[in-house]
Amino acid sequence: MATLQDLETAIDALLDHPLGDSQYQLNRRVEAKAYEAYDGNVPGNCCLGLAPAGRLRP
Amino acid sequence: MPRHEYSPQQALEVLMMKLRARDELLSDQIQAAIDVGKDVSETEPSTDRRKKDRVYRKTVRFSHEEALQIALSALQAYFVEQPLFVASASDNLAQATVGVPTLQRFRHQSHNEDSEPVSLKGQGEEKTIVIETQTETQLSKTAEETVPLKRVAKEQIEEQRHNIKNLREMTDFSED
Repeated sequence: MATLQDLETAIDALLDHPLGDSQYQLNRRVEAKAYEAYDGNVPGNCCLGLAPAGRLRP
Repeated sequence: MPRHEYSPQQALEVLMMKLRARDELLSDQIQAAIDVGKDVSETEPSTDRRKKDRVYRKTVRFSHEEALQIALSALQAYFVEQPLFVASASDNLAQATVGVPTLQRFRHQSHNEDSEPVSLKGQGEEKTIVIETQTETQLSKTAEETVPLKRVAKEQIEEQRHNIKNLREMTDFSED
């Protein structure tokens, strides 16, 4: 039976993986910019897939 | 017999807590994707037999199990699909050629675009890919004008794919 500790270990393996650092950086520098652009009514970034559709505002 | 010692709610809380501790921005984005909820169709029976039932769309919150899968799908997009996208773009651009003019041209010389001699170079060579974060129309300065996209080792992507698969299995409550 899977324990909460097992789950925490599995989450740590994903979030602390060496690949993560570059992805976190990319997220901070590009995704945040895409949201900012969208707020400024520049929908191009969202169309390019840089902003998840779930965050689009009407 | 349950296969987990934790509930879907506990699993979601632990995942979001650890994510927030690791990267607050990513955590906020995933929380927003969860909080959007989902659309469902509701049916209101008609009191008049001659009229049809009224069907309408309603937005409801995700269950904790659904929210876990939404969070894992978003993490898969960040840790598996984005690196694969970069690898694919790098592969495609490596095959692209760059045309370099073979003759030096001066401003006063008339030019005909069609006849300009160029030599094709760079096919099969890895190219540098960057995303422009400082747009041409932007007055305010950003810290970096461009962000480089770097290829990640396939083994690392596979490890993350395995980690996601493992987490999906650990958050599958369908047989509990």
